[in-house]
Order: sequence, then structure tokens, then C-alpha cells
Amino acid sequence: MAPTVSELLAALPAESARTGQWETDAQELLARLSSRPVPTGALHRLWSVGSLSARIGIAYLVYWARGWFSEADEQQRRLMETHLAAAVRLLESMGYLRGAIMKLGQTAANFPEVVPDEFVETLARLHFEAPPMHFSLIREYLHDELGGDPEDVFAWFDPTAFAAASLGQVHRARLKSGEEVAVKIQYPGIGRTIRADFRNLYAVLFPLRLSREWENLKSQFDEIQRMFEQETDYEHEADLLRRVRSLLREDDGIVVPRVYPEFSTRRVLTMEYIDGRNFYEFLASDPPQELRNQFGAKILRGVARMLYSGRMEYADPHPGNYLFLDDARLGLIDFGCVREFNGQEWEYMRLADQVSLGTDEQVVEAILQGTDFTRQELIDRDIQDLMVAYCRWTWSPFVHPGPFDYGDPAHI
Amino acid sequence: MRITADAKRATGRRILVAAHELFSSRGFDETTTRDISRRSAIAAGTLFNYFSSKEAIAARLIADALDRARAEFEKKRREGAALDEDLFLHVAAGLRRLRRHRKYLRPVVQALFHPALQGAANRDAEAVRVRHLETVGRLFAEHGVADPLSPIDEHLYWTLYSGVLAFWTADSSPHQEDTLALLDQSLRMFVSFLNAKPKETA
Repeated sequence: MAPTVSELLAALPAESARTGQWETDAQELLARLSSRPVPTGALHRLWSVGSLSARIGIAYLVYWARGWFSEADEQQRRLMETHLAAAVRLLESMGYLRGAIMKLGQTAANFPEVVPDEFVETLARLHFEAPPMHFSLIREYLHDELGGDPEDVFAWFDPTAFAAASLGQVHRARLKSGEEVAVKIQYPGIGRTIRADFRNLYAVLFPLRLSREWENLKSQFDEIQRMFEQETDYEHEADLLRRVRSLLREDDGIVVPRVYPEFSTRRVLTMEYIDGRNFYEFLASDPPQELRNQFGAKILRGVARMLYSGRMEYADPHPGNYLFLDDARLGLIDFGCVREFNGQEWEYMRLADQVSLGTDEQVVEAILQGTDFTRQELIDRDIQDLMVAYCRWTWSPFVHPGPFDYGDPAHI
Repeated sequence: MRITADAKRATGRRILVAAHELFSSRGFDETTTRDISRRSAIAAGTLFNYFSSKEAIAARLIADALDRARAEFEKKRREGAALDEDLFLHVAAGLRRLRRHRKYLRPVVQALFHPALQGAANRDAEAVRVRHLETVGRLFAEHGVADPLSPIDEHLYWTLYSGVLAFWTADSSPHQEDTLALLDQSLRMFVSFLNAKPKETA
């Protein structure tokens, strides 16, 4: 049976955080929990990663459990647990969130291991799996969105999708003017369903606002909701495609597809078809290390070009977004998840760049400036050292003189 | 004076056109048979030589639309399509043809196609139901699922279909996209329900 919050609190090391023993104690605790036959959701995930990130996660877990729940009385604690559990059940009802919902489902069974931050983090990692659409559904939908059946609007339209998209699927077609295109089509009504579901989720989480963690949780939640809404707006994505195309230079070796606005709407995105191998096909062809390095460099160059020339963060770089062309150019095909920095956020970005080469004191000051941590919270030396170590680890590839080897065991 | 068959047909058509215009502009409930007679330039009593009620007129409008839709469905069927795709196309073709009537169809659908009304609805509405179910039964048989559909399965299907139809008449989403999603998922559910049933042995 899953431990209650009270049991968890009682089992946590009390003063050992100061002696450095906390990490061992916390890991032992996790080992006991994860030796059960059913995976323990969030904690199990932390345990199995085994890297610096996991150790930081454990530290935060200890810190959070002690700080938040221990301050609440029994009644408040039960209330919090109820609300979080209800939110998780609500997520389970969002049927289009297929893959990650299994993980969250396990977590729900093992509450109270769902800590608010983990909960929100899981939300961030959720990907959509819209149901597959057969051609009759596609035809009706395109008839309304584009003003005609696909057989009439395009010179040729492949009734079978050749790729999945997070909210729909992609079909090949040819325009009457001859261009080969990829037509990304969103599942009908899913955008509005997601918006409505998030409103409900927010309403269920709202009672948690009485905790001091609420503002942090809420701002993360808002951010995730914004990201999901952006993913449902193909007109926004079309705009991003155009802007990123204009940022790239010929010698970047990166190609972004052209958009055809006359065949695009909020839910249908028609773009240039780029012929290339996907990530797994590319690796399966056993390419030489030199070629892998070239593509790796281009992936980073794309991120850097978007960041420093466009103030955009490519927030979801995963294998499905890239194509590996035979002429060694990199195709960048999905812009559903791009974060644009406002003035204040950009200034903070620049500050982070500056202190990456600075002293530990400067790093701590920057953390205080850019996050919700208070000076009081960072007084704990172990927490401070952890935060600084984590920042340095994240920055190490960028401050390293010369080429950086991500495969270096010392880094991993 | 004897009325020719052509003249009768022309009058019938005039009534249908007038009714559609009035239903669209004023609403089904707000339109009377007297209004329709006046608009069709016939005597009030004459209308009842052609149609027994305004529900009967609405039923004929729907039946005509769905007859055209059936022809389009047969033309658009795709080789190798799965059962739920064929079922979807059958309904969607009908919805496309009914679209110009959608604004006033809500009370009509309730009056004519409610699952409880089987056999008691007017002739045209009953014909619509019978022909629709014949096509559905044929599709199930062609795909090797349930030959023939049992009366219970037919009733379940009709309940599902008339429910989607009712939903569609009140669907305010852009291009009634919610209906497309509802139809898609309802049919998938129904097909997997039938597929999951144990096959009866001879």
C-alpha cells in the first residue's frame, strides 16, 4: 500500500541534510518504495535516472515534502491530497492524452508520491495522441476547411497518412501547380476540447492556491496551457515557419519548409514536402561519425540561430521534428512548441549567459533574480551548492572552449 | 379540369420549395400549412391533396436529400476502406445534403426520427429509416460482420444515428466539426462492440 504523506514525512531524514547524509537516506527510502512490484510513478522515474538531475530531484522532494506538507495540519493535508488526486483523475479522462496518461495513471494509484512540481512536470511532458483519421473523415473536414474535397482542391492527395502529428496526421499531396506538399490536419474539435479540459483542470487545482507553492504551480500551469494552445493553432505555426525561414542563412545547411497559405487554416497546414530520412531511418543507415557530428552541429546551430537572431526557444526538440537529407542538410519541420521571450525574459537570458562564466556568488544572485526562490530558502548550503552545480552542468557545453563532446562520460 | 401528372408533379415541387424557404426564414414551428399554401399559390385545402401535414412535407424534403446523398455515397466509396470508414461516409454524405435544411431540422428530427417512433412515423420518414438501415446492413455484411444485423443491433444503430443527427442540428462548433468527431468515435465504438460479440454458430 502506498505510504501516506505522514508516513513519508516521518521516514524522511530530519537533520541529516546538514551532514550530507541526506542523499543516502533519501535514496534508501526510495529504494524501499521502488522495490514494490508496482512502479511508483514519479519516484521510480527519479530513482532510475541516477544522474545529477535525479539527485537534485530527490533533494527537492525532501525539501518540498518537509517544507510544504509539514506546515499544513492534518485536515489541510488531506484536502491537498484530495485535490491533487481529483486533478489526476481528470487528466485520466482526457482520452487524447494517451501515452503519458498511463504513467500518470500509475502515479494516481500511488498518491501521495505525486508532488505538485512533479505533477506539473508530467503535464509538460504529455504528448497528444489524436485518434487516427480515415479518409472519409479527412475528406469531410477538408471540404469545410479548404472549400472542396481533397480530390478537387489538389491535383493528387494520398488518402493514407504518411506521418502522425501530435494532434492529427500528415498526408502527401501535389498542388495543381505541381509542387509536392505535406498537409498536416488536426483532429476535428480537439483544440477546443483541450481548452475546455484545461479550464476544468484549473478549477480543480484552484483550491490549492492556499498553499504557498501556489503561485509557482500556477505560473507553470499557465505556461503549459499556453504551450498546448499554441500547438492547436496551425496559423501561429505557419507564422513561425515563415519567420524562422527568414532567419536562416544559406550556409546554415538547415531547411525549413515553405508554407502555402491559400491551402492552410487554423487546423490545416500545407507546407513544402521535404524528402529526407527521419531520425531512426538515418541511424539505421549506419552513418559515419563525421556525418553524425555534422548533423549534431546543425541541430545546435538551428537552436542557436532561433534563439539569438529570433529570441525564440525551440522548446521541444525531439527526433520527430528533424529530417536528414541526402545532401547533408538538416530539415526542421515542426514548430508547434516554440517559446518566444518577452523583453524581461530576454534580459534574464542575457544575464544567465553572462554569469555562466562568473563566480558562484554571481550565479546565486542570478538564480534569485530569475526564479521564485527567496534568499531564505537558499540559505541551506546544500541546496545552494546543488543549484549552482546544476547550472554549471547545464552551461558546460556552451562555455567549453572548442568543440564539446556530449558523449563524454564525465559529462554524463 | 383534369390535372396532368406533370402539373401535379410541378405543384408538388412548388410546395416543397415554398416550404423550404419558409422553414428556413421563419422556422419549422412558426410556419403553418396556410403559409405554405399561400406561398405556393394554391388553395389551402389543395395542399392536403399532396401532403397530410407540414411534418410530411419536411419528411419528403429529407427523403429527397438523402436519396441524392446515397448516390453520392456509392460513387465516393473507396476500394479497401474499413467498415467504420464506409459507415462514416454513408452518414456524412447524408449530412452534406441535409446541410441546407439544418437550420430548421431540429424539431423535424425529433418529430420524425426518434427511436421510439419506428413504424409510427409517416411514410417518407419510415422509408428513410428503412433505406438507411438496408444500406448499413449491406455494409456490415460486405465487411463480414453480422449478417444480417439483429433487430437489437439495428435499434442500437438507429439510436446512435438519430442521436448524432439530433446533435448535429444543434451543433454550433465551426463547420459542425464536433459532429464529425462524435460520428467518428460513435461508429468506432459500435463497430468494435459488434466485432467483440461472440459469433453465433450454425
